Amino acid sequence: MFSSFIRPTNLSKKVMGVIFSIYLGVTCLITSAQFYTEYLITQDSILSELKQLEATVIGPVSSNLWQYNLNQLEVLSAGLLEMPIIEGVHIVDANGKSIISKKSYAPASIPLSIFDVKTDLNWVLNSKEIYLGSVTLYSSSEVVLDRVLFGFSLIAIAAVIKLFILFCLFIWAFDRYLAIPLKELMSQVDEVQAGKEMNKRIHLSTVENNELTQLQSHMNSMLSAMEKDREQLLEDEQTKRNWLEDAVAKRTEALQILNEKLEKLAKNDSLTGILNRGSFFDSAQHLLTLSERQKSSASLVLMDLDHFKMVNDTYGHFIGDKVLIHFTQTIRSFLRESDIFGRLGGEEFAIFLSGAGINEASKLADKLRKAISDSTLEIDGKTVTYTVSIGVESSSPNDHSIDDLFKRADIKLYGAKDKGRDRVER
Amino acid sequence: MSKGNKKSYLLFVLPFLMAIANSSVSHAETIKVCYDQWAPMTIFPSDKLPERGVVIDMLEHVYASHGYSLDYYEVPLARGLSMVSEGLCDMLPEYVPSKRVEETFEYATEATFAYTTAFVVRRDDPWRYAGMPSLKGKRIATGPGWDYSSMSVDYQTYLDDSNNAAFVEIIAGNDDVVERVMHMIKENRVDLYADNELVLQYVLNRANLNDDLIIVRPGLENKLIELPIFSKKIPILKRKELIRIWNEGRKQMKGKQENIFLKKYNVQLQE
Repeated sequence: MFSSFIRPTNLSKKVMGVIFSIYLGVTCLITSAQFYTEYLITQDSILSELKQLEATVIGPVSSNLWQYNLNQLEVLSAGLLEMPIIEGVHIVDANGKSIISKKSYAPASIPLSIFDVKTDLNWVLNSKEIYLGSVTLYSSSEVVLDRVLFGFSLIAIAAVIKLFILFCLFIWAFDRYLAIPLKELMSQVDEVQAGKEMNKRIHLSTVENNELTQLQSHMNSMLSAMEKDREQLLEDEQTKRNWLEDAVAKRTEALQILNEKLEKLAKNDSLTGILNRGSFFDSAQHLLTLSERQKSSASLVLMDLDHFKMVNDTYGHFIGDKVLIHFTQTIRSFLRESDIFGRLGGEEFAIFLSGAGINEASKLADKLRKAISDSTLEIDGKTVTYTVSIGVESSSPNDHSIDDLFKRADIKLYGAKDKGRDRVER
Repeated sequence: MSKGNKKSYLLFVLPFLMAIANSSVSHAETIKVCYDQWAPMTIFPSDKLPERGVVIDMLEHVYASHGYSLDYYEVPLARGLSMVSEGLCDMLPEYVPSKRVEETFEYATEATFAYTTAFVVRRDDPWRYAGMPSLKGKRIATGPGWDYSSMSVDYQTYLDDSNNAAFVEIIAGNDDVVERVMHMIKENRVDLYADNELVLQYVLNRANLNDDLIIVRPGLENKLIELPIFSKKIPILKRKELIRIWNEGRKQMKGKQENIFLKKYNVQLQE
């Protein structure tokens, strides 16, 4: 506790410590000056008394010195030494020889300082002054201190009492006007900092118009400005967030569209828009497995345009592409939503029919062949006709792979080709 | 100087006096002697100087031969007179004759001494006493209350005259007065002093001032006569007997015996 008083970490304690130290120092300085002044005044007073005393005894001393009355001088000196202010008497004759030399203190206890008054002794004889010698009366610091001890005590006690009272009043005033309001201010600042309410303000209980209330006012102004700034920041943030969310949503939507496009591009043939070879086989395998699990029948219709190379060679690839698109659209118009239609490559196409046996598939294949052969395609003033050969194969319980079904349908398709084209082989 | 009126500042021994206050007057073989200090006639003995003076030696000599022993009481003169008057002492060896005190004392008829008075001056001072005019311009030392009227009324009148105060130095003190006066004369502070010649001799010797001062005559006109006094409390027959012994004894010692006593103290009477 003492070390915390000597080296306080608390600002208020440090301020109090500094002020107390300054006050204590000034008090000690002033009290010392008072002591010293009192000492000097008393010393002057004692010197004055010594002079008066010397003036009183100078007659008898001179008379006894004149009459060689050493006994009387001894008695007189002893009497002088009995006086409280006299510490020593020294009488010398005209030749400087010591007649009387008395001290009231022991040689071992010499006072701090000795001061004296000295007077020459003369005797008037026939109107002529005869020098007899001198008498010196000594006093000392101890006599001064003895006399001023009471005054010193009063000064010291007064200084201590003043120091104590003023320090108590200072602590009270410091506490009342600074420490408590500061503590309240800091407490409310902590509450404001810890709280989530932006509209909370500092309200000190003191009503004096002083620096603290000005500080309170400035801090409240600062809090208001901070609240306004914070609201503006929140509003800006919300605006940015909304814009960002919109941007992200739009971007996401665009990405989804792109993904869909990519997925479609990955799965479908770019010319006809139906499933490409890979996607077709994946989907067909899935449906084949499902049909197997459901123990229902499924059929694969494998189609190849007849002499399509000759169409390309005759009309060009542009017309060839149109023929392929036409073929696709014509076939699609006969299919169900559950049927899978894909281009396996070039002029080769396939249809997977879930829940359809060989007869149903064959009937559909024949309808398709007939629709194609009956159709006439007008492009750029040119009339194009074409036919298609179709192989139909239905799945058996042992068909686990679409590849197996495809191989058998392919054999049927080549059978149709071999048998003259524009026909369905089952 | 009249020793009878001399003020003494010596301390007296009060407890001792209290002890003897209630004692009855002794009329037997012991004589109680009160005396004051007046060297070399009567001296208070000390460890260094046990002698009691010429007069006490004479008393011893006189009364011892008649089977008396003496008890001594060293007191101031005034106390001694009072004690003799009250009967606490039987006698006092020297007192100036005076009719005023004869109601309480009885004088012996044979004087202790008839003292010659002399002056002491600086050895180089040619001054000699030639009546009162010779004192003009001279500073005289004396003791307070000392009375020379039995030796010279004019001299005493001169000392008492306030017009002469600037030339009369009154020296107070105990038994050291005469010696201090002599030192003052030596230092030119005063010029002369008159006293019993035996006193002057004794003090000059004691102070070792014979090289500086000299005793000169003529002194004052008359001699100082002093007589023993005896208490009237002593029964008359006994008192008469004591006085008779003294008177006879004192007469018998004149001359050779007297000089022996004086020589013991290194003084002598000058005629």
